[in-house]
Amino acid sequence: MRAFIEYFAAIGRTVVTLGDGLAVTGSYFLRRPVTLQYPDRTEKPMVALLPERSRGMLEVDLDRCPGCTACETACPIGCIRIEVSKGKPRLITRFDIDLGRCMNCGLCSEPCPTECLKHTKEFEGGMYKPDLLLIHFVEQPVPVAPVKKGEPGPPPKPLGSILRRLLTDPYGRKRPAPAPAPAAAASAPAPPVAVAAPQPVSASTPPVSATPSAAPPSTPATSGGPS
Amino acid sequence: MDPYIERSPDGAVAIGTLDSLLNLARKNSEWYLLFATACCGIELMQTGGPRTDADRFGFVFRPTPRQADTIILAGTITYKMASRVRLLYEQMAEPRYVISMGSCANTGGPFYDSYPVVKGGDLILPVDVYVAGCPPRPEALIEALMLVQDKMAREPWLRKARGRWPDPKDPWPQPSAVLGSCAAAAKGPTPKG
Amino acid sequence: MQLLAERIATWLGMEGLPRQAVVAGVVLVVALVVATVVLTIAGILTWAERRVAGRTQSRVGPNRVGPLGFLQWVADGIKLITKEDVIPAAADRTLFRLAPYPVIVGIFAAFASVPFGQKLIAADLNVGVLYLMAITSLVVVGVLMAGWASNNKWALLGGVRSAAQIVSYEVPSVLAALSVVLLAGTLSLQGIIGKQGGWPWEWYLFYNPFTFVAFFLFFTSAVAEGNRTPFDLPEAESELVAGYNVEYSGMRFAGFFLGEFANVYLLSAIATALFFGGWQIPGVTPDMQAASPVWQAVGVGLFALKAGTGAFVVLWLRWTMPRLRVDQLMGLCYRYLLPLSFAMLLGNAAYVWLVPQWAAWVVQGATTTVGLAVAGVFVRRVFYHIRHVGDDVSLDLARGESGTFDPQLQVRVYGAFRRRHAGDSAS
Ligand code: SF4
Ligand code: SF4
Ligand code: SF4
Repeated sequence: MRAFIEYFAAIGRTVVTLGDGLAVTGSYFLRRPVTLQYPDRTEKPMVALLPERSRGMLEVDLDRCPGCTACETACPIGCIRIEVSKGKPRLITRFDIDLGRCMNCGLCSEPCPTECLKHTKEFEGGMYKPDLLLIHFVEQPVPVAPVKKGEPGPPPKPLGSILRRLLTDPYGRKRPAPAPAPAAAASAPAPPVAVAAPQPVSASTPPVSATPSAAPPSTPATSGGPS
Repeated sequence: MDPYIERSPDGAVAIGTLDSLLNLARKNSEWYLLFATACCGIELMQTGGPRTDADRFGFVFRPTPRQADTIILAGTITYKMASRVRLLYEQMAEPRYVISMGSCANTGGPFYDSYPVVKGGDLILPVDVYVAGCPPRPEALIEALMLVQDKMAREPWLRKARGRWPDPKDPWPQPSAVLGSCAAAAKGPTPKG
Repeated sequence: MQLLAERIATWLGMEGLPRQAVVAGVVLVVALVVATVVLTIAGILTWAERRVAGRTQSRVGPNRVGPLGFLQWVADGIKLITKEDVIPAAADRTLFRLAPYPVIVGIFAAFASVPFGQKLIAADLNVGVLYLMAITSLVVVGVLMAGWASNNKWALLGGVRSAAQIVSYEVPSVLAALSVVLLAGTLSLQGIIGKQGGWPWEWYLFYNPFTFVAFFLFFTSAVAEGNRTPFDLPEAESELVAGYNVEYSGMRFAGFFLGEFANVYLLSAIATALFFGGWQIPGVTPDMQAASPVWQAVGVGLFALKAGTGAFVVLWLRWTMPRLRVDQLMGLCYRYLLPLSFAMLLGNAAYVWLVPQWAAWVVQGATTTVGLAVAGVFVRRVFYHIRHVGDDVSLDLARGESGTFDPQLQVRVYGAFRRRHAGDSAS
């Protein structure tokens, strides 16, 4: 008798729990998805939606860097390389950060006395060649900034503006125009025209900016990749 | 210039269109291999998750390499694993693409001087796209998948299958002007659906 | 089929042609039409599956290719054609190449006798139910062939599991279908539909308590026969990589894939015909429907709606249930489904034999009421979960200062944390 009751109790449990499970998943059909439709259908650029302290790629503001090389020493995997010339004025001749190796640990920005080496919120680091992730922050040698620890120094630039200027597009070409600062994009309401812009059928690639001047590379890379 | 135009003047347009049509289909159905070797794999799984829904673009994971188009090197590759990774790649059906995800797969990353770690996935596989980050955000991986899409769109599959591509005299089609500037592409309120 | 062929031949004014030629031609054309329709249905179902999966998991699902991502299945199909067709070196080449065909043939041939409408049926067989059950078993052959020929242990395990599963679950599903056959007194699907009516209380689903249970038994076994979650052990990703099709790529894989989804629609269509009144329209008799093409179209639409709903439930079930273990699977079949479906068959027999007509009306009404009450409880549970799940899960935090930002939500989410924090600073 007991086995009999257990048999039907098991059936009852199955039916009730299965029904309730279907109700739980069914309730999700009636809710809004939580997806942030990343490249083109977000309310703001993705960078503006990231948390306040998210650590993306590094950038250094050379106008405020006294060339103390504390960051180079601090990096556990040696992906910062700084060269400062002797003599007067002392020049920073090289400031490279290998974003292809950096692990975003933040150990380099902590000892930085003037807070000129910072994590940006930039994260889009897709490249067709790995060398493009090695960022040369010094284009021409610059004199070291006469900033001491604790002094305010020149005002900090908008976060990410330096990196966005130096980071190439995946082919290694310069990006055409600096992207609008996230703060500006946040304050300006989206124009109705942009809202009503129809999505092309294959909207899976990011919309191409209107830059006819950007010269395409001579031969597209084959799938052979780097040798 | 285009061998098809010379051979059959009538069919030339059709064949050219067929190639772009095939590419349109190919790039909108990019299935990636559910394979990860280290912590980047967590972000790889997250990419298919609710917040960064990779399925929006038709990127779904396949558990078996035979049915996958893209292998994502997600994580540290040790020398012991390298041969297995290579085997997985060789089991995939052509055309196949490789994404190197994260610092470890790019250059060895934090383990750049460690004795068992391969210093970069491109030492064992022909990598198509490199993604920076440790780990890259799921959105960064989406961007990389889109870069692979762009690469697909630039390869005339039909011509390649018949051994007529790449042709230095005919770089068909042109690469799109600028990629990767997704940050500037936001369009306003999220549409439904 | 032959009658149809003769009618078409007469209509085309080709009575003079040899009869076999006409029959062969018509069969070919009908087969092509059915195959196209089935392929389209299966493709659309793959898209629907991904949309359903998306919404179940709070994501969007494919939405870039075409409106709402509807052309996703076309893209997938074309992509699969362009892929290389890998045949492993150690595989049995002939069997490996042949394996998808029994699966496709088994499923597509079954569609020949699915009554999409009163007149819209390729072949109204007088043994329709039997034919459907028999021809879908061809799938086992294909799956076993694929598993064996791949020369891969995952594939072999998947194939063997699938064979065991399909053979086992065939029995309860046939027994549950027999309950309906017993009531209708015919094996022809059109006959069974003709015995039902348009209104829900005229369906066999609500005919009596035994058919009500028999429907769920049939549905469960049919889902298991189609290798769908929670019974998708043959292609369990977590243990068998991809099961019997692990070595398949390109078009051959597409064959298995489409076969699976066509099977989902097939099982919903059979359930619709057996239990949900098929193409019957509420308030319209079959004679009226036969007379008017408009009612015909409405009937076809209604059938598609019912079968589509059934397919949707199968997809929904997939994203709700975890996968069973092998022993649980077999236990479910032999300890629960099989005895219960026998009991339902006997109960139906006794019902037909003992219960007078007036009592049958009462039972029918009572079963309908109970069924609708169950549906009502279910809808209540759905709204209960909308209200009560998600209060403690905030998914809107990263939206920042955008319109969806809800500080109250954050207060609720982090309330406990903040209270504790406040206590710390006070002390
Ligand atoms: S974040 Fe870490 S790994 Fe990257 S440069 Fe700084 S210290 Fe080195
Ligand atoms: S630690 Fe800061 S100030 Fe010193 S070299 Fe590095 S970036 Fe410049
Ligand atoms: S790149 Fe960073 S997150 Fe990715 S595998 Fe290497 S250590 Fe882990």
